[in-house]
Amino acid sequence: MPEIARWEDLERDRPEIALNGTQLLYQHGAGLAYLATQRKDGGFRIHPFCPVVTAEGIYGLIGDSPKRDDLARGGSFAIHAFPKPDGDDEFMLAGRAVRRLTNEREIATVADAYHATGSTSSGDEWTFEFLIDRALLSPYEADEGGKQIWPSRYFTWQAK
Amino acid sequence: MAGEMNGWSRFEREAPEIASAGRRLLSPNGSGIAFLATVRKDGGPRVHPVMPILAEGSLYVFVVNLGWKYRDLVRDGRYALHSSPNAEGGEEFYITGAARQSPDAAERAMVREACGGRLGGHDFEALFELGADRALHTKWENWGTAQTWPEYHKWAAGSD
Repeated sequence: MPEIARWEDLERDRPEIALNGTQLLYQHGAGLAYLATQRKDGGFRIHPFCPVVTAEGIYGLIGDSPKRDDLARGGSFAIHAFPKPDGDDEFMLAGRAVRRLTNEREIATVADAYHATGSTSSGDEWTFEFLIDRALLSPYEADEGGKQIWPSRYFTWQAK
Repeated sequence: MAGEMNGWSRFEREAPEIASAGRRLLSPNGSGIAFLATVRKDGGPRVHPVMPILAEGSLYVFVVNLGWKYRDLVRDGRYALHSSPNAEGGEEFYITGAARQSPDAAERAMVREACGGRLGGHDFEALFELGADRALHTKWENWGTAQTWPEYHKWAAGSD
């Protein structure tokens, strides 16, 4: 089982990955990313969702759905930021999600941050924290004409 | 050539309306980016962008053979693929199944031609056909309002 850590650990160890990753997640105002979860039969499901980054962690408010069942059952996930309109920069996290049930301050902080960006809620979502075992930031540099230079650069981090 | 696996052509035959939406969302104007979830060695998901290509009734991707997602697909072909956000908003499509690497030169040439030569011109680009086991088209009614709700259209191989 890989080591897992919180967003704050990524931010402390590799602030440039956390900063650029946050910018990609929030490029449209509200947090937007793809969330891959593991089905009961071992295959995957992938859907868009609204991640929430706070000073401590990265979270999701997940309504009643198959992906919520996936997270509650095993929690294995991968998150990838939405594409940029003008480039192919990537930001991906993977690890294990854990439902947050008891820490009312933490749950309220996540809900406030979620609603502050304009995301809507039915009020019955479960709060999951995404604990991270690896992160990848892959930005492209541009030539003088603004064209992306392939390949991109890779910045990776693994929880220790 | 394609056709021996549960493929796009079977999906298209059994669920033409969902397949039509999938074609439009995965490959708008013959090109587009989608997000591919693959199975890591430890069983967890990984997500990266790819450019899906629909050619002669099959769904393909070219994958750089130096990267993680290539190794994932060779080791365990299960995948999930989700469309990028469409320009108008309010629609999503995803498909899951098993990928098959194709070493066939004629098939590669056909797919390369289908994507206008944008991909497949280098030896390091490996060609995979993506099989189709299940698909989901989501249309958000009243998109952009607080009263939006999803309408789901699902297909699973052999469900009829």
